[in-house]
Amino acid sequence: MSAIIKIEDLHYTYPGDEAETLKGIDLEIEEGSFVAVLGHNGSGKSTLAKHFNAILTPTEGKVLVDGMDTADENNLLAVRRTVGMVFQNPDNQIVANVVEDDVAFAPENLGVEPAEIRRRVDAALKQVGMYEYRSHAPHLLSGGQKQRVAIAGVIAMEPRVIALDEPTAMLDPQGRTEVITTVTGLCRDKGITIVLITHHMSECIGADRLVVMSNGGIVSDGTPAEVFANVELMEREGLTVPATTRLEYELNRAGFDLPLSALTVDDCAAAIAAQLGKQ
Amino acid sequence: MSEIRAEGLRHVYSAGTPFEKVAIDDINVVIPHGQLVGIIGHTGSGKSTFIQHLNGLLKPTAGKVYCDGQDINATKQITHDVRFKVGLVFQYPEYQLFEETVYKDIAFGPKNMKLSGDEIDRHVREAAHFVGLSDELFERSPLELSGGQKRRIAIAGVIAMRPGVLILDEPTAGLDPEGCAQILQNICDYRTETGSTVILVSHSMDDVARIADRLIVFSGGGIFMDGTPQEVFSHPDELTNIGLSVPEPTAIAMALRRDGVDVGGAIYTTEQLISAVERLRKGAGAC
Repeated sequence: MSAIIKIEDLHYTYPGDEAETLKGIDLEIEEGSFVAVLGHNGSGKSTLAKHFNAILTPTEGKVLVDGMDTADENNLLAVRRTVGMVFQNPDNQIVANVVEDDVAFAPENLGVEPAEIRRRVDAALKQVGMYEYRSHAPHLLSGGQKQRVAIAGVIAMEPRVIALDEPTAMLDPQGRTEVITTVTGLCRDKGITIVLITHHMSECIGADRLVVMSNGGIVSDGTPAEVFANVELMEREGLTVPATTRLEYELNRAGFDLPLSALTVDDCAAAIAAQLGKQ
Repeated sequence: MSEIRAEGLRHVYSAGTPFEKVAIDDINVVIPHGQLVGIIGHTGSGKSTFIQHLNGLLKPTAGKVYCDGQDINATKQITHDVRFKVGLVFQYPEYQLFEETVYKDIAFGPKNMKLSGDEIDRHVREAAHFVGLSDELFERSPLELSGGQKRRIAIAGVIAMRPGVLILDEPTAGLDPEGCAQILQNICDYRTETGSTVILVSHSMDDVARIADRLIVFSGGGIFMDGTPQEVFSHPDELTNIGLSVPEPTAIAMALRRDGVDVGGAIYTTEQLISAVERLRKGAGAC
């Protein structure tokens, strides 16, 4: 597999700021992978995300999307077709009065043929489970539904990467599950690369890789099980670990011998049950 | 004293249009003075509609809301006064910051209460203290501060009116774990120090499990469950059916029971779960 996004020594300073927000990021994201990015508020993770599709371009260093330098304005359109973004607030991302018009917005702007737009819009709405709502007014939908419409709008551009910046922050537990299930499916079934920026530890569990940011740099990078196993580091960074890891960690301190890699509720319960059974 | 009572509360949006929607219906509830109540429910369950009735922002289609025994919609003057008694912090309140300085933003509410300059100053400082904002930030522009700080300024702006009932709609949404923990602590401190009633709308089962005395669960525009966190979270299947989840420790405890490990009664915090498992191990060791 090859890297669809390649970041080399990325530094970024916001105009007017003295301090750097990103202080030298090196990161390669494999095509088709599901990468989660965690970090406290102000760690630089949203700033990093904005570099994926040239909303921001590096002050220093390079961001290559499918080999294209995002700093080169001639690449702008191609970069944005390759990487679609979904943001936190669904209300800020919906432009049309009817769901299917909203989803058609991007392909229309890309000059796609009408028949092809129709096909893409229907396919995108089906993929996010919102096809029955195609003629509804977006503002009357729930937060999770709106966010899925926003994702459909991005899918309709047929990007190879979708970067989502805290897409579930404003949603209820059901809406959160809908969005995470949807993006996981896009990655696993369609091979779309997913970069998910989040505060919710539980949303990272299903990712292939978890990157932790702090203070403008990357402080941990590995599988979710590897990253969460370092409970001390996560706490030092103002983050928590999933309740499963926390429980295993605390029980180990009390003399248990549990694997910190049992991340799912079922694995965690099975590990504890096995230890209690042995005694 | 600030008791909230709703009787037969019903609200219909867009009545008489094709989009007519009954948001809440037949809500009967008493929230006594000093209680910390968590309100949970999936999006569209009616919880935001409900809280907007408690300070007169929405008028009931039918039914009544009483604050300290008084119908809050009886006269315009009463509705006006209730806004200072029942403070409502909206979702993402930081988007509503508008003044040039932090101090002025927090002072906006007390100023509208027509307080004297000294009193306003006292209210502002006290509110800033509750949310852990230092005086040095007073002359800064709220727009140049971090998300967590902005959120605290917005909450301070409501606390500065010293409401007997403080209602917060998803106060921790979008904050990192440390920011969440700080805001929850601020809310608990406010309750403890002032004895005010606090109503917390949240999507985080773990948050409400930790701090609420009582949980009111909304579903389909009505109250689906009402009880202590212990009572409510001992019905995980019902909660899942209405689109909610249980706190993660509860989910682990359920999985343990299924695997034949009897961890005992309702568990909804990690601490409870740890001591339950340790107790079992000690019990097993003694055999």
